[in-house]
Amino acid sequence: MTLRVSFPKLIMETLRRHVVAVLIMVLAFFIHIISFFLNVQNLINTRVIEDINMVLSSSYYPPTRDLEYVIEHLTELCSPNVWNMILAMAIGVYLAFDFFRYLHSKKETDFYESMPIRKQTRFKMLFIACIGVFTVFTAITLGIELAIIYGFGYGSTIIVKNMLWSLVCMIGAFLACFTTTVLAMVMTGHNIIAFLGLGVFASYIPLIISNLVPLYADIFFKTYVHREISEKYFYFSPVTLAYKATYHWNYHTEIWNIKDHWTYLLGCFVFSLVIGVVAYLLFLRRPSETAGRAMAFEKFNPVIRFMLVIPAALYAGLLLNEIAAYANTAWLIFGLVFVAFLMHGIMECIFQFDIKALLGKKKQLLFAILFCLAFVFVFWADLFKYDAYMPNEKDVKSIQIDSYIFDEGKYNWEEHKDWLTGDSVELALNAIKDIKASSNPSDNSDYTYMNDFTVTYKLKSGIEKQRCYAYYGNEFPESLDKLSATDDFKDDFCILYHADEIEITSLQVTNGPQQFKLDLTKEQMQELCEIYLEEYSKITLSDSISKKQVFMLIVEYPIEGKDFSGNESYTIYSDFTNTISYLKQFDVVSFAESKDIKIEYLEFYSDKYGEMQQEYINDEVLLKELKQYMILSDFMRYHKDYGEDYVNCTVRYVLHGDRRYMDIYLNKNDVANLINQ
Amino acid sequence: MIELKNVSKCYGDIVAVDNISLTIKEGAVMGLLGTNGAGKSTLLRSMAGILKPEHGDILINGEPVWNNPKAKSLFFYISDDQFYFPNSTPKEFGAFYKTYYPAFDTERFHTLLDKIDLPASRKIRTFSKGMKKQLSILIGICAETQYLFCDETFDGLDPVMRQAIKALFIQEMSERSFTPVIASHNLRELEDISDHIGLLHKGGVLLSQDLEELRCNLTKIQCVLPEEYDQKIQNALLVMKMQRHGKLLTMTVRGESEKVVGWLNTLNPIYCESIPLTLEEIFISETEVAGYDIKSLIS
Repeated sequence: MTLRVSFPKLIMETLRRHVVAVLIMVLAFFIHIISFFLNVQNLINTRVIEDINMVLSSSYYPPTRDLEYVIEHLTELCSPNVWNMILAMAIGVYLAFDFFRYLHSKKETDFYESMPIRKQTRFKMLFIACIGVFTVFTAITLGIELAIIYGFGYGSTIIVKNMLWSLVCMIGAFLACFTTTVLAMVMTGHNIIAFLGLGVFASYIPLIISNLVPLYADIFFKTYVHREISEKYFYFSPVTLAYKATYHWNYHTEIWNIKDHWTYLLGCFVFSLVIGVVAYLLFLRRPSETAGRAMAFEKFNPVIRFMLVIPAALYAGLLLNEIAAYANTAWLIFGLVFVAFLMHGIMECIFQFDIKALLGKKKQLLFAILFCLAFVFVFWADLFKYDAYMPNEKDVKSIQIDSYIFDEGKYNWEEHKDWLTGDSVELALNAIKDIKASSNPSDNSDYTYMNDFTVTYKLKSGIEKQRCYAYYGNEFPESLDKLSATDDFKDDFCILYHADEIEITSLQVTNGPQQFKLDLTKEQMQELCEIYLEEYSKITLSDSISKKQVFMLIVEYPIEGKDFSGNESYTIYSDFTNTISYLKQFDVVSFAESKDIKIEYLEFYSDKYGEMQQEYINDEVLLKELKQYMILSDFMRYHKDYGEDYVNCTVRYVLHGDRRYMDIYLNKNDVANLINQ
Repeated sequence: MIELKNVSKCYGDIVAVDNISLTIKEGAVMGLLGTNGAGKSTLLRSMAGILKPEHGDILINGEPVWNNPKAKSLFFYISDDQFYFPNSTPKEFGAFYKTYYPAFDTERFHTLLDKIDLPASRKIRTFSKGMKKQLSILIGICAETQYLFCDETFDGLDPVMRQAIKALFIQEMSERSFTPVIASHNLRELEDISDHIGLLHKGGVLLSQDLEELRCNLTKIQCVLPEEYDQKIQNALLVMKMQRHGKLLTMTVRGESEKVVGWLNTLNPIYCESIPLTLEEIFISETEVAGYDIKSLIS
């Protein structure tokens, strides 16, 4: 009769056979505990010194920390954080490598595979041993760290709760990396190839695939708007999943909370489950004789090679396209073909462990090159009419047109944007058509670049499309002026139009070098805003460039959920007579004159000697000339375009005994003249 | 009983085992003989459930061996380059096997270690190649399995140790159901230990027979007879091979030795004697009939 092999005994025996890996893990956790203890001690001692300072009325060193600060930072220390995540990920990779390494050795494979246990049992045994030992030691480590906190007398339910989340996050990060490494080990027959595979698994989708289409679109499409990489890609890599599940930062606090991270944390577990199941199924089917070879499943080799050769070739094409000053597309094609050939050969050499394989599988190489060329052709020929896109009015639900020319000085809160709808859609589409028509001026055109307009179409089907049009012309089209004069257009980026939703906390007026806070009651503030809006609502885009600016009205308002205020700047033009008359009541028009301003120096960066370096101008005569640029009414031209022709400079000046700084934009030629003088 | 039914195993385009059907009966030492690349190791690894054959079935006591702990618990496999944990000692290694083979006889293991002078607490990595092979055989015996698969395990063992192992095998076979299956490329290594021989060549089995049966069926005779008797002898006996050097006639004849010599004596030879056949000679005779140049297949 056959005696049954005990599963718990197998697990214990497995751990005994990997005692070095377990000890290294324990050492890592021990260092973690020491580091934690030191951090807690330092934080708490900082507060003790603060108390001494208070008693002695001492100076500000060492920095004073209040109790709230200490508790907040202790809570942060106990919360899921990137360091814990890195530790969990590193252990996950290490344990998977150590426990499944036998698959890459013929000697060890023969040894283990001849044992009287099922493959399923072996996989479960290795899996449970790794997960179990990690979970137990993580729980012990966090338990000790919790005891340290309680030992110092700072324990609380929040800290316990965050410690538990920390445990969950560490297990999630561990599992994601562990299962991915196991998959890499199972799919390959050699340790180095497994590490390369792990690198590919970790970066393929969020780094390689996600950027490919945007980068090509950026090169070939004139109207392409580069957006941030969609977060959905982060769900396909253990590294990005673990990072997003644990890394926390917002304006308010660095303390992790489940509300912001639950999708990624859940993603870690779902990802681990899926990859774990795939690894398990492949483990059962893995031929033992592949130990020592590059790949365990040779049927997948063409697919794997294809998946790596295509992006490598396309990125190489991009790189040469960027480097080349002329004939970019030709260089792109050359880079693409060359790297496709090279990468294909390298992959085949790796697969066969033979340099002679460099020229192998020619048909597959040809297919890969043709695929790459077809990919480039799709973008080059704009087969999907990306640049020509213009939606039908009946399909559009709403439109948003963004440009710094509109919202200069505005905070531009997305939540206040209610988009252009109804009749404004038609106006907007007309304006966009005119802008679009100017986007391709002929070479001998007298038109100059004026601005970029980013247009977002929200279609009735729920699809959102975005395009960016460069506008060339001597003046803005009438259709755009007509649109910009509507309240529907302006209320998308002016918080003043939402004054009923927010509570304005203060109003200030500036002419550039000077700024005054208006001492107004709520009613007066409201009255001033209404007067201003009445005049501002008539202003068109062309007006905003051609009209003379005199002041800026700075509106300060609280931001919901934040512990700081937002502010927006509104230009007061010379013909805003009602607004100026209202302000006169508060004597705010009596700003200092140029003669009252003493400029000490002008600072800017210059590449005069081939590399960027700071330049200072101290010459009094030259600096006197600068004053014209400081007064708001005189430097309004920068409002028109301060692109590549203008240099950002900092002026240090003294006004009424106060030393101040101000950023101004000077024409490049003016700056060049200043340097030469 | 181990049954192999139309077993084939390929490595890519290379056919390592080609449609082999073989039966290994219990209670005898089975020798698998073949040159390098003949498919011995592949066959043994397939029988041990390490490799999955593309075609055919391998049954151990009626149970398929692939991924079947019940069948796998019936044998112990010793590879040509056995794995040992780094820094482990025979004592620790025995404890490890006890987990996988619950019937592992630890006490006997330690007794046998003492008997053949293998230090139980010395690190295995300090052992010589021969000592490691001895250790693996001892573990295999003490695992108390019904079958023991040895891949080139006896290569490198000195004749004294081979005899000692043979004695151990005989003892095991007399005390319990025990069937060693030994693969080797060296005919002389198997000659004194095997009861049954399977000859492998290019992934196929050329021959599989009991050694005694082979020996009994073939007789090598040396006699001194005039040349005119040659035709008469060939007509009367099943002569496999006949060589004449002057009056001295050397023959390999199928049949029992006593009967053959008895018949030859009726011809009144000056001298007539039956000479023991080496295994190599038996193979040469048997396979030459099948058209193989066996000298190139065995070493």
